[in-house]
Amino acid sequence: MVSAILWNARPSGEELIAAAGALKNLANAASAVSAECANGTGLYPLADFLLYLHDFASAPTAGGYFELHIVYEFGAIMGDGEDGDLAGTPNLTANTFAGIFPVNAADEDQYIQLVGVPIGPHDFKCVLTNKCGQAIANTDGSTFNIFRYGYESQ
Amino acid sequence: MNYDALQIELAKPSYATMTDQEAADAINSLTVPETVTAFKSYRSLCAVLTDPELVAVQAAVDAAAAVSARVAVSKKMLELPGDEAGNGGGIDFGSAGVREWLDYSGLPAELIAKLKGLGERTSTVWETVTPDDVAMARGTRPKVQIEGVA
Repeated sequence: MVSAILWNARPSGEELIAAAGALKNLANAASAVSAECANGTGLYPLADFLLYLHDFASAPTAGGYFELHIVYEFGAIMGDGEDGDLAGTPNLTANTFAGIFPVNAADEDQYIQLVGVPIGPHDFKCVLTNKCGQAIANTDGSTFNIFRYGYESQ
Repeated sequence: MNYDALQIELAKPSYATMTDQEAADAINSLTVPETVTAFKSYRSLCAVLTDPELVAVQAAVDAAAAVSARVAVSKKMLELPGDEAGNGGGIDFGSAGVREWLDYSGLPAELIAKLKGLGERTSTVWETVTPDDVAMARGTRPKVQIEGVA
């Protein structure tokens, strides 16, 4: 019997950084650490991400972007390249790098997608590093969401 | 950005009363001379030296060429116009040999500096520092913001 491999479902968004959260007033070159994503129980293999930037201190530099790093939790230890708690300054490298969100060089609202990112069967946190040359404004609004999904045999 | 090094730089008293923007501007304006390959001939020297300076250089080169085979050959190359890479002629004012010869040439210090300058360029000490970088190095703005932690 032939079976088809389809997406399991249209995923719902899960908010990892809220509008009044870690992206607010984020300096250029600084990093925002998200809330934990419980993929150690969800076990999804793929994820799409949506970064919403609602405002900047002034227009970002042309060619600017946000880096997405994924730091997994192994037992109770985060693989952050540092002391394992992701609380200080994490050592973000190509080892944690998952993709980029290119930023339009204009001081305006921007929804930026990053799709098809493989994720592992661990709980994890995302770290967004601001590489766009400008700080995010010191007001509420910017958010970061994850949409997890997988394949299903039907 | 090496924030540890930036922190040490910002600890200097001259930055104490500066705003983050002023400190970033001051740091970005810091430059150091750097030796580079730059082949120059008498044609190039004519563009930057005065008549008395050029006469002094020619006299020093002629005198040294009379007792040094290396300088004698270099003199011939100096008389041949070439490009910055040395194609066609010229001598490299960024090379250690030429710069050492200048040190012992007996020419006035000001003229030596001018000639050495032909083989130098200035480069910035730091990669571009932003006011945010200064704030993070000063500890007035966090390098990492954690969701759920105020």
